Amino acid sequence: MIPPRFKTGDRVRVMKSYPPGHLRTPYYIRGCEGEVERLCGAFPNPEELAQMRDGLPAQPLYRVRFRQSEVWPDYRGAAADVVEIEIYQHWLEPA
Amino acid sequence: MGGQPAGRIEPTEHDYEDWERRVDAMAVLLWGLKGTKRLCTVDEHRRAIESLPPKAYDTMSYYERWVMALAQCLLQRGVITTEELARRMAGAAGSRSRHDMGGLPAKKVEPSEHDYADWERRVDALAVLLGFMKILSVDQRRKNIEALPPEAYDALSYYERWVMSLAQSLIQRGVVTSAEIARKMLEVEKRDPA
Amino acid sequence: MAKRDLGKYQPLSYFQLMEASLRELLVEKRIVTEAQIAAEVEDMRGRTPERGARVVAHAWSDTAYKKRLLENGTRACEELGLEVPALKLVVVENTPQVHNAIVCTLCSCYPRMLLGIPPDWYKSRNYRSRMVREPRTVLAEFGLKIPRSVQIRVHDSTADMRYLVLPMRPEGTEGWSEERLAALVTRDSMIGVSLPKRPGTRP
Repeated sequence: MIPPRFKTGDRVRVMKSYPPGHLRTPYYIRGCEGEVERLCGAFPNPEELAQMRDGLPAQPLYRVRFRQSEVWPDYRGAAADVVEIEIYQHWLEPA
Repeated sequence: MGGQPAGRIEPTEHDYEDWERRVDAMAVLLWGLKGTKRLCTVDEHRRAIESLPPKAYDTMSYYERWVMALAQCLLQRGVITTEELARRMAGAAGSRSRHDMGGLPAKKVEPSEHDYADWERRVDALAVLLGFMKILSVDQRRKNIEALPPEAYDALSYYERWVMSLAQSLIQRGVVTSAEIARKMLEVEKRDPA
Repeated sequence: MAKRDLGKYQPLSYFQLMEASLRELLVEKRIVTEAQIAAEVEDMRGRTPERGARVVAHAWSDTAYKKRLLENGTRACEELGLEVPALKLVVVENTPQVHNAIVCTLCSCYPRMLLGIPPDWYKSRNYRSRMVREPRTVLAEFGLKIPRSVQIRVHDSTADMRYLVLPMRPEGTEGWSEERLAALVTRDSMIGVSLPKRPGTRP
């Protein structure tokens, strides 16, 4: 497995890139900054599994918490509202 | 598109830009046409172009289609990974896939439910079984659903999308061929007393 | 002969033809049997929100179990004898300060092996598009008004984990048996678009 780079509480930024292929990093979160809520474990890379390859070595997967007001410029809910998304390590950079 | 009505043919020509010439050159090399190692085939290339969503097919220029197709072929063949491309392309704006809809405007959620038809339950069961047997993966299923043209993605129901994806996945795995499916569909249709 | 849905006198659609054809080809190639498919259909029918309700009711009744549930959702389900193959469950708890809601913007990920097949609206364009961006408005459309003093956490199931909301235990249920408690727990309260039933509401 690929060693985890991040731990709970770390500030991270999602890579702002739009490559082709099967991706599990939603469009709306690319380029956004958030905080690691937990390491979920390490799993085979779905981008590679989709191409019928084994997706190994397993890639660390994190739940990352983002403030809604930082994701959507026009967010009208409460300031404390968050969205939490699972993101694979290779999409994250330290913020 | 053979046989479809269309407009007058504009006798345009354009001097190819350097990047377009490089795309052409890369394709020639990758197809092994210059004694180089063949990493993908012309047939894969054509299939990738044909898989472009209709609007993209129409609005993209010739070499824009070629470069998208090349990327798909190289990804499928494992010559490059999505991660490698993502890092190189970071910063370049891109568009959403039809399925990647988080945050888009939409209407009121209709709290609809329906009792699933037997055929829909069987599609679900087949997908789950083939997943447990490790013949197909949920990732491959999703990829094939995402690859449906946007209009089809919207028009098809949930299990209609699943069954199209199932067919594609089985063909990609070499479990069945298009020809086998074609013959079998005719056979089943002939049996149907309705 | 391909099984037909009873009472439908229409020609098979392209997609129904496709399903029948793929199934017959796979059976002919001895990859699956009709019996296996039928068994899986029955297994899936047996997976219903009642299973999730049992988990919730047990967590309401047993603080130590609740702690284990929040730490490892899958193991806690298995502890109750619930078969949940391949499910990686994360349970998120509603409190007076926090309300949780689940969506899968990319497709329709859902804890199927626990709760069964998700409802149509969960897979709809409208829910998947709007829930991450305007959760309060969407919840209000479901009839659930969350005060601004309560934090809303929307969980987008993008990868391998699946989510279950552990709703707050309704007031006025002290001393209730787990069976009685479970009857209050609705599927929608475990997705986070509504609250459990209150004591005294008709089943």
